[in-house]
Amino acid sequence: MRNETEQPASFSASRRWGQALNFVLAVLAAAALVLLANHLATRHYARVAWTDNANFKLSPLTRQVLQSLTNTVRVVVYYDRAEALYTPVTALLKEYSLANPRVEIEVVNYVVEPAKAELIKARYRLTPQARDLVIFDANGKTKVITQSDLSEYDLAAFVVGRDRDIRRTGFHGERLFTSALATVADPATPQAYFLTGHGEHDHGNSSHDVGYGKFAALLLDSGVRLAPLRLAGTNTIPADSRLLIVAAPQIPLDSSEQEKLEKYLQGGGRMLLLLSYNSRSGLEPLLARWGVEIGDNTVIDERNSPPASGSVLVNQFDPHPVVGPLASARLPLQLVLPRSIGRRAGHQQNADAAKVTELAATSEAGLAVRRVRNGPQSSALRERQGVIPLMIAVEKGGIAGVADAGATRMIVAGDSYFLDNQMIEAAANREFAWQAANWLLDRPQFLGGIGPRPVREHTFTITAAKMRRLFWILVAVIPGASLALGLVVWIRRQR
Amino acid sequence: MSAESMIEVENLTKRYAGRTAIGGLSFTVGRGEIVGFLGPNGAGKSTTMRILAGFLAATSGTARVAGFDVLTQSEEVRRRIGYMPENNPLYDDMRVREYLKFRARLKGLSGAHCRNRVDTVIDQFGLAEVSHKLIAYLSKGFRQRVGIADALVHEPELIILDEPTIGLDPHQIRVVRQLIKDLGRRHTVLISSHILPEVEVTCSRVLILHEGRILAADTPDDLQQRMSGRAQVIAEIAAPAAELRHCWETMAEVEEFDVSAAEGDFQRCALTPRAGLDLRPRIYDLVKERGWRLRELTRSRHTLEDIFMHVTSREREEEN
Amino acid sequence: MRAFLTLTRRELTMHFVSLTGYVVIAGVQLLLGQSFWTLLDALNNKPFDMPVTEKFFDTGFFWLVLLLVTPAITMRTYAQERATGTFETLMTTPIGETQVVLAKFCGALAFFMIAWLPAAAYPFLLRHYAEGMAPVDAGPVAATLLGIALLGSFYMALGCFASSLTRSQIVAAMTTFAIGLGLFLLGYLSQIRPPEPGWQAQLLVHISMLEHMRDFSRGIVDTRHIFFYLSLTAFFLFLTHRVLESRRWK
Repeated sequence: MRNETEQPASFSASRRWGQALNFVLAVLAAAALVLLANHLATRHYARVAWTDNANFKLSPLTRQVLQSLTNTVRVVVYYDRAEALYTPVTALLKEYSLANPRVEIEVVNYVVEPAKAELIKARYRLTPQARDLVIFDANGKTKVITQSDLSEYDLAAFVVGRDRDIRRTGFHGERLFTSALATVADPATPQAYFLTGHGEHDHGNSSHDVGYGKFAALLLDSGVRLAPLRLAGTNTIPADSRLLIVAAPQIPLDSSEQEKLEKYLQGGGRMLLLLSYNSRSGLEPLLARWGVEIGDNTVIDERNSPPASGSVLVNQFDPHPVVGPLASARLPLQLVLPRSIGRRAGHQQNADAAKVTELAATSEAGLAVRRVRNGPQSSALRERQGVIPLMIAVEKGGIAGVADAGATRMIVAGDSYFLDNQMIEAAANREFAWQAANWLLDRPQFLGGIGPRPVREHTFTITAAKMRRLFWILVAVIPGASLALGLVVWIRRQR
Repeated sequence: MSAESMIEVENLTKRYAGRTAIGGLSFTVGRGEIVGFLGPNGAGKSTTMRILAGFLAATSGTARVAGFDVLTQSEEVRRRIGYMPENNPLYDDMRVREYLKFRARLKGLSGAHCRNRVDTVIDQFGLAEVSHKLIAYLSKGFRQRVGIADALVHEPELIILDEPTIGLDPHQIRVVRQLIKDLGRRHTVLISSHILPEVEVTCSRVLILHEGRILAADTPDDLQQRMSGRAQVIAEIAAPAAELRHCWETMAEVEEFDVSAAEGDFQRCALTPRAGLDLRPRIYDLVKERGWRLRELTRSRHTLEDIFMHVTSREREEEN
Repeated sequence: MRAFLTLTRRELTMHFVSLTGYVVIAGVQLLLGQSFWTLLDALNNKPFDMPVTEKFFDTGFFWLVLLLVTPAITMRTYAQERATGTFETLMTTPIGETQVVLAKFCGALAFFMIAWLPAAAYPFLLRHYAEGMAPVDAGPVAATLLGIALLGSFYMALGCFASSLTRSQIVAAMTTFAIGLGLFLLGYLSQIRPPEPGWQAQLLVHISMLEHMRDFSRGIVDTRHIFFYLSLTAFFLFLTHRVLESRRWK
């Protein structure tokens, strides 16, 4: 016989209450688990792009800048939703905020939210007519990007009448947003000086081909304060100078100026020296002491020169932080009639001496031609053949690679035209300028990546007849086939 | 004694929102028995069967099938039963063979064994001619056979059939009854019905349910015995009503009577005998003696109502 | 496991042995075909800078398909069986509730994906008819497919749950449609009236299906979206399981 006391009744009130409680608890626990799983998923996530479309894939540089953010950056998209750029702008900014939630995005549609729009206008002191802007705001610094900055248009096609609308051929969103982000995120605004008074490139000129306006704009965008500097007379290099740019002087610096420069460099100064084939700086002895040899020549590279351009495409790079990313992205530099800049023979590469790195060089087919100026006639003379160095980086005082305030840094390039208004957009010249400036300014968070790439465009053509056929296939044939199949099956099963 | 008893039910109660469907039900069914649940609609037959099949939960009490608790060991219980619910729901969009095969697989049969069993039940229930028909187009009789075939395709120890003959024509009823009788040789069978003869011919034991309680549990013969005493006799006789009344009043064997006018000059008399006597020979003699004409003389069947009248009246008496 | 496969097969073939399944597929294909043609007509001869998949999901027909087809598929799962009584025969077989829930869900999801299948011909049609078309990027197409499957599984689980609560298919369909539409609109709301930055905005972005699908159609696969859909699918399946089980103790 079964012992009834050992086996409880199948059904009872207490068992039912137990089950009901269990039900409620299990549902609550499951809900909590779902919330927890989603919370964890938002904190530890991966975002992978199964596409090469640059619109949705942030460049390594942008990622680096985003990773270095420590403060909240508020981004106000002050836009009319009907604007063509609204979608790409918000899509791109969404990627920013997903990559780092410290980037907070606020969309203000001034058409439907006039009250909010007024608030924004007051807060950022915008002009009454201002519209379609992206405003970056952090650490009390703001940076406004207008709609016209963002696009590049193919006006030619419009004028010729080939297109009915003005075609947008480029979208600079990522480049502008990243530098704006870097600018507002960095509380410091380093001071840089352009040396003037010797016929250097003019950093205030954005229209002339050989002006340095675009280069200056790049520096301003990345949050650098700029000022011209004259060294004549009693002027010295100011103590706040974090970077001195010497862009191809045509008149040699006098001895007092050279002395000031030497003192600046010895005290941990930073200098970007750009020497075109026709510049005469008079700095050769000074640079020789730092282990740099400047060639008085013009270099060509038979393998890498576009015909009849006088320019040289450079793709031999050292893994140095300034040019390493160019090498890994297989992007060349385009220099104009460069001169050779290399390490001086016999320079000691020990811990006390300056560390000299040859950044870029020609291929084995490089050829340095010496200009011999004797009288009005000049004749060319073959000087060197083979791999010819064109740029060097000098570092002294710090441990290699580790930045420290006392370290001297210098980049000397054998050309200056490659960064002028005409050439800066060519090849990877702009990336080089960015990398060089930020390496000299000790901003490692801005290094290591390449800026955004161009927008990919799709287009296709279908003739009217094919369009009609497609219509029938899509709207009649495919659904019809499914219905017909159904009818066949249905009839067969009625037997 | 679980080895011998297939179903053990103790104090089973089910209440739906204040209404008691079954109240304190206790019974056992032994292995190999064919047991019939008898009761009107709403007596709690289907509810009890659903609880046994593990589909519904009771409010309190215990139910075991083959020694397994229907709540805590539901899967073991369901493995051992073949259950055909009330109204025999089937998938109308499937063919008969498809359906039986699908059901057999759900119940854990596989491969050749599954095919064999499906073929066997198709033969056994005469479904071969309709095996490729859609269930939607089957006649009521064939549907019922498919339902029963499904209930025993996996050779369960216990077969529960809820109203297996409802809605069938007399011929089909006879076929289904025979099927159930045959099943009893190898399985334990629990069927429900609201018609006594059905239970009478197929079952070895009858449980009478009314308002969720068992009023009687007996073999059909014993029930018969108990009921025969109450059997009414109907006689249609052409005679003056007053004279007939007088006759019945004076006849000692008649306990109650009722006379009503039928068509023509016939009078319809419903007579209840005293103490289980058969009144028919006495009436025949009376009619012959008086020279009246007799049109009908029948002893009424043991209707469910009779039984209920009987058992419920007894219950009332006990209460008083 | 065998019972699970048997039941899954039944749940899937159920749609193909009656006319309704084919009508649903034809309806889906009509909507998709119409929207695809409209898209081609709009883009013909004009340069555009988005993947075709993203443009396609911007047309909104996908949402119409998802919102309308889900109830049509899932309303039958439990409500119909309850109404016809076959639920009783099903639940008294030795198959466990978990298997029933999973089988019905898998059957519904499989049918949903099959309803999309003819759309796989679109890239080939495009390649055949369009001139000057850059090859369709496989990444966004694959990511889109993943997105459809994830959204589909979430909606199917939701529909199964709604169907398990009632014996009326109409009620099941309406409930599914209402909840589905509500969740969709929640995401849509954050599109037309973006909220202030803060946790509410983060939450809205996290649950905005429009945002998720836009990412998938761009070829971006985000583990957060995947977790969101998988966790909600599991949650609704769990609820369905609990509802089925409650019958045995209620």
